[in-house]
Amino acid sequence: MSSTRKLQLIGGLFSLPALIIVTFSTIIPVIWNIVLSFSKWDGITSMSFVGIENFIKVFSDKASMKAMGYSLVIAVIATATAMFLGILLSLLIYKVTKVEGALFRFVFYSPVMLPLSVVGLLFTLVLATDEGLLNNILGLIGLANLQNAWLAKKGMVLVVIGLVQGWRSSGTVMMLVFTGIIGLPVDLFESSKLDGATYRQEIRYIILPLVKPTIQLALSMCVMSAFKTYDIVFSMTGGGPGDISKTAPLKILEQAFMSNKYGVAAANSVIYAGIVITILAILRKGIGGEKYEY
Amino acid sequence: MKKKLLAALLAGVLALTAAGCAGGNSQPDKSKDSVSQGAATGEKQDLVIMITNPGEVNNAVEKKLVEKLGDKYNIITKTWDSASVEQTVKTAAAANEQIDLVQYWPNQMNSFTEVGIATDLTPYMDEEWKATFNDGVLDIGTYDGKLYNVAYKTVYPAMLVDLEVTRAAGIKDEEIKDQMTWEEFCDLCRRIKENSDASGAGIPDTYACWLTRNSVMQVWDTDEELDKWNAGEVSFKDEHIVKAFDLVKDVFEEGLFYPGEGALAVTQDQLYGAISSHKVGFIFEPTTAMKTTIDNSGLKEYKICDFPAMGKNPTNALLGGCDGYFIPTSSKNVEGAIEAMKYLTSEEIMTFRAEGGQVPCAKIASGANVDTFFMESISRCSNQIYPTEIINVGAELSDYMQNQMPANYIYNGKASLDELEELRQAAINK
Amino acid sequence: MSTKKMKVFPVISRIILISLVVVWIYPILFSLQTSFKTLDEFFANIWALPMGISLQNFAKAFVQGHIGEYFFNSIVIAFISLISIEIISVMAAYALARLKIPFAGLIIILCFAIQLLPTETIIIPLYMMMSKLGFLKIQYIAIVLAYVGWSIPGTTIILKNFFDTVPKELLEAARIDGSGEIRNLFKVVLPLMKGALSTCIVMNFTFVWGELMWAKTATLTTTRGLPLTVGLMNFKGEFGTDWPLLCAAICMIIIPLYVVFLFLQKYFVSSLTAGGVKG
Repeated sequence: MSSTRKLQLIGGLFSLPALIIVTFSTIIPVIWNIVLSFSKWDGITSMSFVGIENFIKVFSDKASMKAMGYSLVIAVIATATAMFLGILLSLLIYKVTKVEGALFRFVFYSPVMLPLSVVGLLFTLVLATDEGLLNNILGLIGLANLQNAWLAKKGMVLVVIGLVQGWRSSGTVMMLVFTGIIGLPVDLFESSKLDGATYRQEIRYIILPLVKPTIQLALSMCVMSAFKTYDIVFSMTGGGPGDISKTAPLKILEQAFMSNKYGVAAANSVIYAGIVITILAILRKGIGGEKYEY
Repeated sequence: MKKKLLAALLAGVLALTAAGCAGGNSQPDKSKDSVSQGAATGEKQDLVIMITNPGEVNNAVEKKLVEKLGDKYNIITKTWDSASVEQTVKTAAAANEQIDLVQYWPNQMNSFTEVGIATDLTPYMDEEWKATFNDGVLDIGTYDGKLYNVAYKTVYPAMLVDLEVTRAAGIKDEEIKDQMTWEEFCDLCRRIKENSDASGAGIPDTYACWLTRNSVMQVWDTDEELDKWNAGEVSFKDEHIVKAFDLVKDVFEEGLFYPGEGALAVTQDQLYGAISSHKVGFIFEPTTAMKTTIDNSGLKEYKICDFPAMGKNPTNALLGGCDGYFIPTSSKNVEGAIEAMKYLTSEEIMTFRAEGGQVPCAKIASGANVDTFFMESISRCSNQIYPTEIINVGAELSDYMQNQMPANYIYNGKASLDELEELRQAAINK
Repeated sequence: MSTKKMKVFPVISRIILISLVVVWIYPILFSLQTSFKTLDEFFANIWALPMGISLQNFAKAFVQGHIGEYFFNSIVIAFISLISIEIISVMAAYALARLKIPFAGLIIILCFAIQLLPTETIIIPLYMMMSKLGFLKIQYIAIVLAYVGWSIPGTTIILKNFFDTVPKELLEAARIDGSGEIRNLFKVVLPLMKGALSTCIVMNFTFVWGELMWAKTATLTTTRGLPLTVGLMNFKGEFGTDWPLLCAAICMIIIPLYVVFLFLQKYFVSSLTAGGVKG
């Protein structure tokens, strides 16, 4: 009993620095934000409490709801893309030699290192209707009928942004899952090789089940970054044309800084965070976080 | 034993916290440094200005300002960025951090004036200073009788014509009049489209809103009707307005704008690319960007036309206005900011801007070395710029009209007018 | 049959990987090729190869973007941030994984949750706090403090995940030896954690090196201590972006990132052997 107590005490001390800094830089601002969501504030004068008025405003505002919907679409596409590509890449890389693997990991992680705004700007050029690289390539290989106004069509623009975002974050998933795989005990593979298992069987029965916690972690991180779609959307379309790609973060910023409705913006961000947390919780439950001891 | 362990732990944690506090301990030297620096440079007050984004003329102007006032003030220059200037100023205002002089559009100040974070400049605008400005220019930055923003250069939309494209489409140069009607313009675009591979017209996504903003102004037959509309007294569902929006929608659906489908998402850079490979006949640009556009795209045979007239009102009201300066209320050095403002609107700077291909808002020196023909072509409509516009009614309405139109009307049809009407109602009932 | 498959697979995987490499590497190649062009050349044909290799843009970008000064600032910021983040997170993660902190699960969910509010809405209160405390006046500290605070939760979660996979017996053995938890952490566990830690360092470095919005806000009213990303703003002109110049600057900014990444690569391999030991 006392040893548990002691451990707890040490644990508390160990996490104290983290607690202090996180409280300062995140928790207090978040609480401020939550308080603000129940208040009216124009950025200058003092706040006044208005109850749930801001929340009612957000829920009854079609544009805000639409923005959340768009965010959801982008997040789903981005997460699916990132997870699929990331896991695929890490499994492929695991099978090549060390030096090659290092090179491939470097290449596949490199988009993550480019600033998001730069990635966005670049893709506006790649996806441009007329001079864009993609349409030109499609034209060259005789698929001209697939050419499209990628960033100017309702619906299409969300899919495209989702794919770009997913493509970029696949590097992170690849890194995490790969680190997970090489952390697995080597003898597991050795015994499976002796049994004559194919790589596909290895993946199915050894790798995937054992790196599940890592995959789950990568999934959570992907979902989070996919919902925080500010930079990439802003630099690719600015939310437009019109409002066909205006995601929730863009809407929130607009409500705060253009319309001076900081309370409504805060309420909107609280609702948004609520939705994402719910999704994360469901994912955690659904996939299950059981750990394997080996 | 236990105690020893705890003590060791505590010491470790403390050390780590200290290190962890963002290397806080390594900082004091630096902060002391900056304090003593401030003292060493005497009683110089800070002057934080955010008036320049990269560009030859702008950078040179800022340099001149630093040379002129650098002895008196400790000038801190920040890069101006159209996408974040609002957020920047408002964040600083919320924390009451010092920003003294900011560039902004005088006709769009309501986002700042509505919450009172722009300094009223009326008391500083003496007769002598006022006399240097062109007539009516100061009205643009005036709200409810108070001057909040001082304009320094005039901007309005115009068209750059690539004569190589029009000639290739069999259009004679004489057919391209300085001031065309919208119908004439559309006809020429159609001819380009039919007779060549090029598109009739092109507009960067950030400026697409001009088409509808001008359209809703020019659709009225008299100034009285226009004034009523601009004051927010007319519904967005008025038949005139619907007609105005349809006018713009039609040209996009007809594919007259580069590159046809996707014309609403053409960035400035893409348009430059298209211009330099002669793919566009008529290019919509702000007058101040004409020179840059010509330089960037290497056009040799060009002509500058006025914005096509979209209605019958002889006033032919034009949106536009100016770039200007304002002083946020979080300024700690209003006096210095005013001094800078006066210098920035002085004859010296105005002449310099004119010589660099911009249309200044105040008097320039008589012997200035200005390309008069070019200058005439980008300033001849200055007197058509209408002092009011529907976007002045409210910040949210303004945002919608500027960032979501005409796209939303083209994608969503009448539903977008419902949204605008709601915003108009909200703005006038305030 | 199955052995044959085993030999075919590496070949296939290499083919797939190499074809994918083209898509992944293109943005960087594009930046590099564009950085050698003039603006006219760029607009004449965006995708064409440059006519010649000229370093003029690099020189101009270096001056116009204050790359030299900002580079130093960025390095200082990254260095202090990374050291703080890793040390603090390792301790917190270890505590969460091993030291029986009550409600560890809840804390982890919270860690995730608090990161969810859009950064943009956190910026105003944080800026006001920093302003009140006078942190804005001190070079680097406002930027670093926020980066450390924002990065700790995510890093802690990742590290905790990997701590969980360290066999308990190793720690039990250490405890019986009588060595304290700190020794336990640094002598026994950390060496096994090189892989996970380098993953975290790379991820945090990427964030710190590329973050723009807060860096811009925190240095709103000063010209001192500006990082590279803010310098990138100097290439976005009034009427469009000077792409060749911007690309030259991007190349100069990402090269250090790539160096850090390549340097840390060898630790991934070493953690591979560590896996062998612990099995």
